[in-house]
Amino acid sequence: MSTNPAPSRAMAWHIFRKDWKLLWPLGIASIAGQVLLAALRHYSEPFSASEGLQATCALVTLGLVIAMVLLIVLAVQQEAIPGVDQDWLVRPIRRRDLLLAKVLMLLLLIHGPIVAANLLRGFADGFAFTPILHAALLSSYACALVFSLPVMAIAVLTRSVTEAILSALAVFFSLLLVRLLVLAILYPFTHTFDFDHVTDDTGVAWIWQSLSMVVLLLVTVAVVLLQYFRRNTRQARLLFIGGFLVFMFTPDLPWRPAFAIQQWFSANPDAARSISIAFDPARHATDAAAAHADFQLLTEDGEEKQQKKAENRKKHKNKSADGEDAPAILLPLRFSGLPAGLVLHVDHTALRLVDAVGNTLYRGTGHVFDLPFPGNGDGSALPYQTLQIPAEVVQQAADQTLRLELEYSLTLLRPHALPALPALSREQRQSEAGYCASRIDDGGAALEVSCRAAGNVPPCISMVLEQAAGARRNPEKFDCALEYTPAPLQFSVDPFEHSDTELPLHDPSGAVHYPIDKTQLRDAQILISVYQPEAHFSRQLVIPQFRLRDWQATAPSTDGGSDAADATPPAGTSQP
Amino acid sequence: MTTASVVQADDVWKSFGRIDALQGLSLAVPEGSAYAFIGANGAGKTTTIKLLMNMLAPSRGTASVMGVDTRRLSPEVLAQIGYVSENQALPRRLGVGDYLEYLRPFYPGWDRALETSICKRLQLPLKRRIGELSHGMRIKVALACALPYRPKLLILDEPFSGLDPLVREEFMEGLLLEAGDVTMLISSHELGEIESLSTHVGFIDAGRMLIEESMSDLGARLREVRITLEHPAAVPANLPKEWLQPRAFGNVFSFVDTRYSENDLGERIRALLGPVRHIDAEPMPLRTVFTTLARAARDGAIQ
Repeated sequence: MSTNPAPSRAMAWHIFRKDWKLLWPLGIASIAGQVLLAALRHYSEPFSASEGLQATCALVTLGLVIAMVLLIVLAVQQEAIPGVDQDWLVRPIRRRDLLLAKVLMLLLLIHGPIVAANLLRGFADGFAFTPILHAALLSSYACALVFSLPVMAIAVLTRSVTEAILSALAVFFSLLLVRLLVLAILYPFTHTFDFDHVTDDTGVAWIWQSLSMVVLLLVTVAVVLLQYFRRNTRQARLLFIGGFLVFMFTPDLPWRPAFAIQQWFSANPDAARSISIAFDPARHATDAAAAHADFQLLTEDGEEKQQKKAENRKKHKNKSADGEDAPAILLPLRFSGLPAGLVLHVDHTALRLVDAVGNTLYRGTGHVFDLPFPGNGDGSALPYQTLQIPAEVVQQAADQTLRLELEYSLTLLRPHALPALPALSREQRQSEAGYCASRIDDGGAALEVSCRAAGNVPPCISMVLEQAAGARRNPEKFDCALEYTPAPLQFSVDPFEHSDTELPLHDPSGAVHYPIDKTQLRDAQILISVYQPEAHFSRQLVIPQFRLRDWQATAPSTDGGSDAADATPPAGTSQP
Repeated sequence: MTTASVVQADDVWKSFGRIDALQGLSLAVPEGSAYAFIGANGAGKTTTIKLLMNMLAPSRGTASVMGVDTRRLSPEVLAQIGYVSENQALPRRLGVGDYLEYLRPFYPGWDRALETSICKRLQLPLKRRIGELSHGMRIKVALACALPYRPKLLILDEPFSGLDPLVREEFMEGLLLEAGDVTMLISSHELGEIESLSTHVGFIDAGRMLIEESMSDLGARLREVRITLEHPAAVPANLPKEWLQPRAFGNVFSFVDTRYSENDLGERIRALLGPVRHIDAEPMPLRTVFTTLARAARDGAIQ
């Protein structure tokens, strides 16, 4: 009697066919869901979909996620790994074949349909084969990383769908609790119960996020392999929980090493060599100055944030821009050596307040701001920056002479123009922004411009309406969520990224007249600029004598007795 | 003559937390034997069997099946082992026929004719899902999935549990007629059912093997002895430790002799109990052997 088993591929296929016989309804639901979702997304473009279509997309996505979770968990648990009663354990089934069969199921019923549906959608949208395939494969990889592999890891650690769901919820909430407690202990002053990481919403967020994704990938793959080839559920569960803790805390790693890594990616580090920062004590910390502090252009919803800040300031005169009780400290700064035509973005400011005997009173951050187009001839700019310092620290040390140390992480961005787009255009290919189309919105108040690309739309675009003849322009509009992710690492679950920008045709406040209104669009064009990082660099500013009370934002004094006006603290200088 | 052991365990320990389910268990199942693995509930039978099938890992010690360490049982070895257990989790959503079809390619020696014959004999509903079947029927399915590849070793863990007498008989018929030349390890409380086919017996208590020998040796060694004395009987204080379950009523004194020897029994009895009118030494059925040993183990009379 021959005891040689059948070849591995054949047995994996045999196991897969058995799983398909049992789970085909879920497999069909998963494939159909992918195709339906791709079709819905295709019909919802180029402009933002109607609410009904958005709701349908959300429902289909939810159904699809449920079907895929059930499919993965049930397929894996046909041969559950934990436990000692399963029949398959006493059968001559190679673990390798079993794992291969489950991977085959993932590829054929989940990731294959994802790639196929996205290819169809890309073709229907008019993109070329290579960029669609590239984007679809990366999207499938992203989906495996954040969805399929973690679900598979949970499935190999449990015996039933109920156990899988309850365990996942229990682990998730326990880890959240751990996170809350750790943060409460580490940041008793300001960050208690705050889920934000220091690099969140900044261009360097990708560094720790990529690292945490690597951790997630390693943990899920290790758990799956450990279970299939060692069947050690206890060890695998400990590894899973430990790995998830590391995954969860990785984005909490500090700013400085992240920015140091980012600096290696500078395209032209020399571009920032001439830039220096100084403290400019001759200017006062007035409320009017506060209104213009922290000008944001390149961050996500920067203009909206600016407006909201102004409203908050009106509503809560004694509170900070964020509505916190902490009084805002306004720091007048002088930037010099700024290269003409570039934009300087302050990614992060680390501040330290040191008392007279050298004790650190407080460590915190300053607000993010931008210096747009400082091409004023001498390459200088005079912004104000808000430093958010807790009220108790200010009360304790308001009149003390302190030493203020600031470390700035900065990025210089260079805009480059794309070919102009006719103001009223059907879809047109733009080299980097993908396909762009425009239309007048329903109220006739703005021109909507929608761009979509296979892969990623550039993270920072500006658009401006200009008369085709030349001279007259409406104000420039930015659509930015700065991120400095290198191109090979740019991928997301949705392979087709969107950017929607509204170019107002008149000033909402009525204060300014826009030269190009609805009637002149036929002869107008849209100038699109893409902002690319040129250099990432840091500067240090030390102010040896600094009194908090002198720089609290106050209304301009009418009797000339303002502390700020009288104060003449010595100026600090920046150190490259 | 020493026969090679198909199953061997040496000083095996298995702990679940603070509980030692197996405490240095040793076991040897000779090739070609039908080994009755008996013991009270919780003695460690199922743990031992799961360990032999590599469903559990030993905490200490080693075990081997067909010469291979149980921690390294390859598909080639598993293809020669049949396993049927009362708590075997078969795939509930598959049909009986579908499952047999699924298993076939894994076993190079699968005999389709034998499969058909077994299914017919056990009257299995091939179209029905396994999860819809009664417990008894599921056990029969497990047997039907364990025999068609003519395993060299058959391990049965409480196969009769919850089966009515008719199904039990069908199961035994299926087993005896279709199993062929196979080494068997059977753990069961249904001692009447397995006595006729057992060639060897192992008695386990509290995770340790107390007695392990061939049925013929055990039958020759264990006797239920009933003595009619000339005078009223009483249990003597200096009773030999190999005499278990001593009882005295009227002139009759009875016990189980675990070292029976026809030659010197009468002499030893007379020396201990005085004049004897009649001695009767009967062989014991496996059920009585089990209850005697189990009681003695419980009372600490054997260790």
